[in-house]
Amino acid sequence: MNHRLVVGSARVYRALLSLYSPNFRLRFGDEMLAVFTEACRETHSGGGTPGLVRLWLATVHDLAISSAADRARWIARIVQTWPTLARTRPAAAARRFLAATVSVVVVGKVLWPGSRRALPMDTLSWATTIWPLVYALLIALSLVLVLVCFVWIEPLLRIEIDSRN
Amino acid sequence: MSPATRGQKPSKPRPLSPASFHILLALADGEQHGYAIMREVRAATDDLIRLGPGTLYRVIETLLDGGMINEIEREAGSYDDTRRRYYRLTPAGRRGLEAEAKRLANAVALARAKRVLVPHPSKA
Repeated sequence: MNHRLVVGSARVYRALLSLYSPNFRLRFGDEMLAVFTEACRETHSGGGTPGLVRLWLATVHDLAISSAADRARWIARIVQTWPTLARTRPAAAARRFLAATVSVVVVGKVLWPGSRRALPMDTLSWATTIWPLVYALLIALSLVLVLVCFVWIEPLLRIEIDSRN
Repeated sequence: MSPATRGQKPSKPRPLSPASFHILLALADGEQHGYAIMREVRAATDDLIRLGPGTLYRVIETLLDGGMINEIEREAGSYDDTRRRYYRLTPAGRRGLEAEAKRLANAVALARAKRVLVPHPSKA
């Protein structure tokens, strides 16, 4: 019978598996959980709770490194399989990037014309809590705009696409 | 021949990472499941290489995608066995393992020749 610490550890590890990319999780998640549970069981029977703590420290280190590497690989695969980006010549990509930057600057100026002025923190106390939110929204909007420029504005700008076929 | 491959020499096998090498080495005697591989690597390296599940399966994924190992079907005996998958070395994996072992043996020979590594007294 499993000790409750072993069962609890397995539950926490199952939740932490969400750090990995969906593909990796689908392919190896169950097996990783089985391996971790087996390691917990063996460590707990041999080294007790201190052994389990040491195992967890090693596992957290392993999770941080391997999940970051897996996510990086996952993003690289997405970019490679993203047809618009993958088939774009460097010059065309540069023009798109320029278009995206110009759009972000223009929209930024329209939304927030007084951005160069000092923020009125001393007089408007509510602004100190609102400002970070505004910044976050603007950054999010800029990212969306960059994506829109890369995907939708391309035909309007008549950018040459290098067809591989 | 496509323009991309024209004029290219056949590529040499790239050196394996220590984790990949030890995983392949653990599979050299026969098929094993993930936890058995983990234990064998740990024992073979005197606790120097301790693979966590994340690193283990990332390397396994790379080796599977590179055709160096493959998965095999086995009848499940218990609940844990249903989640277990067994891995086996492919001919390409064995060639890669041999090439890496030779590369390491050459490195050791070079270290001995330069007296960086002193031969064991009993063998001298």
